[in-house]
Amino acid sequence: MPNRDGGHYFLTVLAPVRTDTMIDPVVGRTRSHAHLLAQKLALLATGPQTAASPPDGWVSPFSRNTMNHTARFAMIGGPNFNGRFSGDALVSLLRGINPLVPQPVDELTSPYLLFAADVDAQQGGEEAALAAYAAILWQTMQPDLAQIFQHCVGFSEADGATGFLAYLKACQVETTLPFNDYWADGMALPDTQLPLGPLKVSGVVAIAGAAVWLVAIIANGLVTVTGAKGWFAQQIGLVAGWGVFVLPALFGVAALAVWGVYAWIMRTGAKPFPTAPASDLPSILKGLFLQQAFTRFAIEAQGLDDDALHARFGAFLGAVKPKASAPALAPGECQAPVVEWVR
Amino acid sequence: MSRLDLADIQGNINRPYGRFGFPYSRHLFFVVHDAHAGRRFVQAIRPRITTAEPWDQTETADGHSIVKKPPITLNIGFTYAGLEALGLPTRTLRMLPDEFIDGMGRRAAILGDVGASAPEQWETAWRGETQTAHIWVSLNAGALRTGEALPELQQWTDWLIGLTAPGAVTLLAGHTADGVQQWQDSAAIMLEQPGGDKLPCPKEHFGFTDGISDPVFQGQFAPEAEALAVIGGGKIAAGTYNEAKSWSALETGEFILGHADEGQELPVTTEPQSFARNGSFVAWRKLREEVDVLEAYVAQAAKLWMQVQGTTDGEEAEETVRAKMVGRWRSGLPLLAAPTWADHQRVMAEYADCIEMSLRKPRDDHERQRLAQFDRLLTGFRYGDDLDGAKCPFGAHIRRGNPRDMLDPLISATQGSSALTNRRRILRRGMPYVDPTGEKGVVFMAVCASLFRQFEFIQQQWISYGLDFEGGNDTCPLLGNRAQSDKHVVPAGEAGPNAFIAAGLPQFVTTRGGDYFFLPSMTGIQMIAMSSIDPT
Repeated sequence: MPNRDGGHYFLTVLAPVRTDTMIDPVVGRTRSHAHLLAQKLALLATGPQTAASPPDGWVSPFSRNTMNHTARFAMIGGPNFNGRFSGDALVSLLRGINPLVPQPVDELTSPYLLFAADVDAQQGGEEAALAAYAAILWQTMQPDLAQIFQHCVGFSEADGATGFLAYLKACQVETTLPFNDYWADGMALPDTQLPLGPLKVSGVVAIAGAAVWLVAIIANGLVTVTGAKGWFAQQIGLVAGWGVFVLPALFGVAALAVWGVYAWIMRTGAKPFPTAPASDLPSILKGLFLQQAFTRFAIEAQGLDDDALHARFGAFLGAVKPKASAPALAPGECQAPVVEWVR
Repeated sequence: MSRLDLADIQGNINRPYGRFGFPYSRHLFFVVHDAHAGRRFVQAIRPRITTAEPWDQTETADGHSIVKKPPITLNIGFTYAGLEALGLPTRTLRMLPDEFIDGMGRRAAILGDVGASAPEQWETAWRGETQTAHIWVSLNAGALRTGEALPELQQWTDWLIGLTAPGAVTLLAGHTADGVQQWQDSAAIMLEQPGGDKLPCPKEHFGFTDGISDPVFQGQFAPEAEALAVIGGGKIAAGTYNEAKSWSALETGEFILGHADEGQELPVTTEPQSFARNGSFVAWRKLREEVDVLEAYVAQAAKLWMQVQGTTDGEEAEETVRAKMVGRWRSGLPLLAAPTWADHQRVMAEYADCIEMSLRKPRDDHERQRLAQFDRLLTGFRYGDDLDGAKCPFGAHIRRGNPRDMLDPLISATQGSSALTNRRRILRRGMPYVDPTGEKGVVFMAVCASLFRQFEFIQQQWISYGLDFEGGNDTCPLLGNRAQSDKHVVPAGEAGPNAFIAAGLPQFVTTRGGDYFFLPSMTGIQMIAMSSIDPT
């Protein structure tokens, strides 16, 4: 799976956190980078994203751009330890496993900062999408990014926007399972039949060849035992002999056909979905706004006669401007602005 | 077929007493001030506790296995604070489920108990300002033909009060809005019969028949009774739907601790296992019903309904608006069985004899069969027959409370399983109340093995939220709070050719108090009384 799918870029970054200490500028004492980073992340504004958010909360810095659908920071302190590998006591005994000898425990050399984001990439390739996103992030939230990534190994604010992009790339991990929910109503897939033709033919030929060879070997054995001679016995001998060379070739061709089908599946699976219609953030924000406004309209329009309904709908359209980018939901907020229309 | 030790299980778990001829119920709550005194109190009550054994009217020759139906029942439950006050070991206490340790008040945000339903607004008894309930004792009594409770109810109440003493165990007063009642009464609504006798009816104050579709679990009934009850009450298997074959009883562990549940595991309980085995949990809630507010709203919505649908029959409009909110007509007949008011009138006329029969015992096999047929009509439906909510709106009360097969992603007109809802079922026990202050409502009880996974999930995700029903923030039109949304969407259907939105819904139901209680087995109660719980 590629990082870009369905017109969206799914970024996964794992940045190693510095293990030296630094002076906390606020308290003037040494603190670990992991501790200060966790504190900074806890203080990052999340704004009115849900009904439960404080109404006066500062809006998330990610909402300063109109590309970002979701963004997440998380600290990974270390891998989980699931305990010793164990199993059948008798098998362990036979394999000479001494239960008193400790098994290795996986550890990370440093904590890691996970940064995952789902971003608009409606056109263009992967490279351009990541570059555009890195540029807009640096432009709109450089101070926050610098405060966060200063705790990561090899990052320097002085390297600027290009340095930030290079840093993201250096720490990037390919996203193999994006949460791609943009083809909400399903997508008509092209008729993709598995190309099984060559596999079927080569398989049938190889198996038939094997069957013929088996019969020839048995018959050849009988010929040898009975001491029969003649043209038929000679042909049997020939088939049994040549089979040793021909059969591996036949099975080789069949194996090639299997690999061909496998390669086709992998190639097809790696193809990104096409860009989903109206799945860019501004369209979605407009759509959510229209949904909330239309619900209000539908409620108040109940019971109107045709003329009144027509007039009211006209007023509604005039107020919500379905084709215009505004009014719409603001990024990072869950409540649509209230728009009034003439009643 | 699992055999349950019904004599070890408390009777209020498997019996809705109201439907077994006990129309009166009284809930008394006690505070334990001294662990030793508390244990003596439990020990004094222990002999009178009603178990889940089947009741027999006739005596066998050897005089054994006779359990006659008593005139009054008694059951006991404990809050976490109660178990702590009774001196249970720390290990047993800390391994109890989190939500039970929290208690209902601290789960308010999850349960949607906000605004007027918030714990600060609850009745004095439940506010926990000075004392919290430790022990709950419920009495359920039969009625005289005149409609009054049997005298045993007051006699047993007096006996219970006699067991209390200051500094030992005291009664937790402060029920009802004026805060003066010493306990909470509830009772079935009585209908006067020709001849003057009064008979209880299964209605609540909004006028709906209540408690119709309760889950059925393995071991709850005898095999023949189970085979009938599972249709509509059990779970629906995957594969082509067949009314006779698709339904089966839920695993016992969904309702009784110490038995395997629908997830093929034992419910979370505590140590020692023997303390929790055959017990269960219950959410006890006092829910006020704003009857006048509902009536006024329905009248107003019915006018709009007639305008939108172009109809003129006011009665039909009011009944349809009510039914579209609840998913059943007030008679209890589901919209799946009768999608329109005309259908309802026709079916009810056809089964008129069953209404009368359901208030008493069936006299012969013919009556029994007829009642079973009517019961199947009330409960034996599936939402594969209503994929777009044209009959029963997605957001209707009964579709939220028990979505049956509707969450199956592969649901169709011919198949749909209830696999995604089997672990979200509750046994509902409760009765209407009318307080001396005039306040009306329901004492609602939800019995389940996991309050978190069953009761709280239903309350949070299905009653107080609408995403599973394609309804965004919409809450249950009947029970929901209106903090985020106050509308209910009714898709177009036979009952009305145009879609309808019931908007501006006021809050009809307010939580007045309650808590989470553990209902131990008889063995568990004995262990509490003897202080013999050993978790090591």
